[in-house]
Amino acid sequence: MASTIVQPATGRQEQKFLLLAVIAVLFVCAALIGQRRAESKVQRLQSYQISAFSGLTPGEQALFNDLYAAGLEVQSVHQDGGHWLTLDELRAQGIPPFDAKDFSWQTGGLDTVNAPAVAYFGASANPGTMRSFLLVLRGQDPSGERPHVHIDVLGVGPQHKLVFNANIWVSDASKPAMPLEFDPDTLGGQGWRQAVAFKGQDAQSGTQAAGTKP
Amino acid sequence: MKRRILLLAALALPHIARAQDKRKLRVGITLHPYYSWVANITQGAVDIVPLIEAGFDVHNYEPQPADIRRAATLDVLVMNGIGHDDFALKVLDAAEMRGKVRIIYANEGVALIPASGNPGGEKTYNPHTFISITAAIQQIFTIAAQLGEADPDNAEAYRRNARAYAARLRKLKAGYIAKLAGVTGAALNVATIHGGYDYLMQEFGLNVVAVVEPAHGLLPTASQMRGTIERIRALGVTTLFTQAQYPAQFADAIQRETGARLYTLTHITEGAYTAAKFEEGIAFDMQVIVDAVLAATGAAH
Repeated sequence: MASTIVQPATGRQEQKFLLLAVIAVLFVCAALIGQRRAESKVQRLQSYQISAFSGLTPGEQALFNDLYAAGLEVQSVHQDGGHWLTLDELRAQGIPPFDAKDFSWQTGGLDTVNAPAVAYFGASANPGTMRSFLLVLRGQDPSGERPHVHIDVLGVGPQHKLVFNANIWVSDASKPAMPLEFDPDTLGGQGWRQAVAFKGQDAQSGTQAAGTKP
Repeated sequence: MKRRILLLAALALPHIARAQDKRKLRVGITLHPYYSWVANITQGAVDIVPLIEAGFDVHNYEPQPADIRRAATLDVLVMNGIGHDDFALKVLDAAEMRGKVRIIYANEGVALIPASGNPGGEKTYNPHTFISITAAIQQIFTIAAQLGEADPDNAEAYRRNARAYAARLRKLKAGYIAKLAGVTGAALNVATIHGGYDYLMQEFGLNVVAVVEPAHGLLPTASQMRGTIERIRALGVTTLFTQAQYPAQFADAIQRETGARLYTLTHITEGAYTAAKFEEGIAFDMQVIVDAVLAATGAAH
C-alpha cells in the first residue's frame, strides 16, 4: 500500500519567509538610516571662531543680530553712495545697536585701497554680562577679487553678485581697545573671537549649528 | 497712405518688442509678510502673486490645483525655505517650474536663533524669522538684492526702497520699545503656546522658558501638557502668550492651572495679502508684548 507523507499544516514555511522578509526590511532600513546619518554635517569653526547660534547669551545674540542687520544697511548705503555711515548718521537714523545703553562705540577705517573697509567697535560697560563687539565691513574690490584677508561671507551667498563682506567679533577682555589690525591671527591673539552666524542657507543644506548638542 | 502706415508700424515694432521684454516680473510669495516686503521693496514695479489663497493655515497646507496654475506663471518665488512653506517646492515640481523660476530664499542670509523651550536641551533653529523686526530687515535686504539681480534696471530703486522700509520698521519698533523705557524687571520669563515668537521676544529682552507645542505645528499630549504646566509653575512664569489660530483649550487649561495672564498674538499669516499687513501684524504683536510687560511689572497705567 502506497503511503503519502502529509506535512503538518503549521505554516512553518510561511513563518520562515515572513522572518526573512522582516530581516530584509530591517536591514534596508538600518542601511538607509546609516546613510542619512553620514550625510548630516555640523558647522565647522576655526580656532578663532565661536558660534553666534550657541556661543552667545540671548542678550549678546540680540545685539549680534542688530549689528548684522546694521551691517547689511551700511553696506547698502556704501554700495549706492560710496561712503560708510558714520556713528552720528547711524544714531540719527535710529539704527541699533549704536544707540544701545552700556556700550560706547567708535569707528575706524582700514588700510585697504582696493577694498575700502570700515570697523565699528562697541566697548561694553558691563563685560561680565555682555562682551564687547566689533563689526568689520569691506566694500567690493573693483577687480572682483575677494579681499586678501579672510572674510566670513554673511548675508547673500557667494553664488550671487552681491556679497556681504562682513564679520562680527566679540571680546572677553574687560577693557578691549579698538584694534588696528583686523586679520584673524592678530584679532585672535588679542582675545577676539569671530562670531559665526548659523544662517538659513546652512539650515537648508542640512548643516547643524556648532555646539547644539546638550 | 499705406506706405506711411507701414513705415510707422516698422518704427513702432522695436518699441513694442522692448515693451514686451520689459513686462513686469511676476513674483510669487508663500507667506503674508513676504507679500508686504516685496510690495514695499518694489513699489508696484512687479506683479506679486500669492502662491496660496488667503485663509489657509501654512502649518498643514496641502497644494491645490489652482496653486499649480499660478506657479506656472511665475518668474521669481520668494519663500521661507526653512520650515514653513515646503509645499511651494511641491507646487513648483507639479507645475514643472523647478529650475525655471528663480527662487529667493528670504532666510538665506538670516542669522538664526535657537527655538526656545526644548526640554531635551538640544538646540534646533527657529524658522519664524518673519515675526520679527530685526530678522525682517535682514530678509528685506536679501530680497531687495536678489530682486535687483533679476531686474537690474530697478536694482538701485529696490535697494533704496528697502532702506526706507527698514527705517520705517525700525521706527515702529522704537516706538514700542520706548513705551517700556524705565520699566524695571522687564527681562521677564514668559511661556508661549506656539514657538513662533522667539525672535520678537528676544528683541524685547524677554526669555521664552516654555513652549506648549511639542514641535512646530503639533498639539501636545496630556503628559506633555502636564510637564509644561509643572515647568511653568516651577519657573514662576506669570505671562503666557497664545496665538489666535491655536486651539483655545490648551491655553485655557494652562491659564486655569497656573494662573498666568493670557495674551493673544498674531502669526501674521492670516487674512488678506496687503502691503501693510506685516506692519499691522507686527505692531499688534508689539503692543500685546508691551501690555504684557507693563502688567507683569506692575507698571501698567
